[in-house]
Amino acid sequence: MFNTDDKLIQGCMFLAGLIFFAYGAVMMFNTDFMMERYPTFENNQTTVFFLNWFGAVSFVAYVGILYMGFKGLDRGFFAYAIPVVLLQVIWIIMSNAQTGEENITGLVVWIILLALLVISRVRAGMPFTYDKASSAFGVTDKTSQIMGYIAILISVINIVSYVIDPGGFIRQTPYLESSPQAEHAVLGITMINIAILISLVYQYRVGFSGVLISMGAVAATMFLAALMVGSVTNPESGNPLLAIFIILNFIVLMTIYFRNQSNF
Amino acid sequence: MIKVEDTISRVIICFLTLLFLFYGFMFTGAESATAFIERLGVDSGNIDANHLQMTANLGWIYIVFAIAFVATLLAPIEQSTVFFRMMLVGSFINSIRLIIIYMGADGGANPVPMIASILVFVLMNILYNRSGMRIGVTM
Repeated sequence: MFNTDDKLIQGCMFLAGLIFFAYGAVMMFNTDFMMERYPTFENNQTTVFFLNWFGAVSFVAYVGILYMGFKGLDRGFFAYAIPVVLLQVIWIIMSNAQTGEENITGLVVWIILLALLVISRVRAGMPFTYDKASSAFGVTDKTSQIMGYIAILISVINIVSYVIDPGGFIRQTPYLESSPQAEHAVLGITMINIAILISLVYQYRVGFSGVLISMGAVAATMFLAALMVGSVTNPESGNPLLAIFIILNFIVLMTIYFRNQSNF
Repeated sequence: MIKVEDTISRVIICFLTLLFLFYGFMFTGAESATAFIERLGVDSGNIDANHLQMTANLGWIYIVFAIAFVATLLAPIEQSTVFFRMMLVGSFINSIRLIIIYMGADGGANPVPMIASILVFVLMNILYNRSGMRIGVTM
């Protein structure tokens, strides 16, 4: 597994995958469990919406570990996963500071997760110097390059729009209700966007990474399916801008995936 | 990475993956499952936690099928023969069943599930034919 005989790496990656999968499954499919454990969570559709979002992100990270289980470890995965977990640890600390440390289980588990990822990366002996590819995203295909630039642009717009107007996302989505927890969740999503931007810049320099593009394709498909479900369930209370971003993201990532999958 | 060489088969498998994921997410979410059942003409007052538990179970079956379709995309097409054959028979039975339910005296108020099931059957037929799995066909 993971194209290595090192039992420590295999063990660390297995446990990391287990944590990602557990959080993904619970936050996507058993939101009541999470809400029972956090007394400040309101049991409403806004909380479910954000829990589902974070669950999808965890599940996609699990897909990346599954991919590497077959194909071998890839630096690209760590270029995304370590920043995203580190930022989530910071986000959980900020959350606990606001609520008076209501539950530290999540914090402890995510710190362990961060340690597992760092140990795997260091143990695998992956260099920290990133040689520049001969062309942008390491491909000569203009369409893939343009899609890569659009993906970077989408991430930048998401981050900048949060910086300019942190409450805008909730305000523009009639389905969601504003609350301190919801606003903090939007910050968490922005942190995930920062990690996505880091991974895209990494790919711009080093070249497209099979695991990252595959994870992106899975994420884009899941979000599109969720958008379709949302548009059927609540046809008049969606966020058109978010819908456009999800559809555009799907087109971009699928184009990159299908044009480059033979190299992965 | 993708082992299926036929472009149309790839498109069909990707579409079916998205469709099954859509239904999977629809049935696993309590709110979306309730909205789905209401659209079939059932009063929301008659939907309780047990009904939602059953739809969630059904949703997971759909999600598992979506994962299976992704697996077929990544494997040589001949390794997917049994799965495609099972899906072909299953989608045929399901579409016939939904047609009969829709045509019945107390038929559903919403034809979309019936149309979706027929669509899956047609697409599975195309997939089955194009991959040369029909007995007696040589590619």
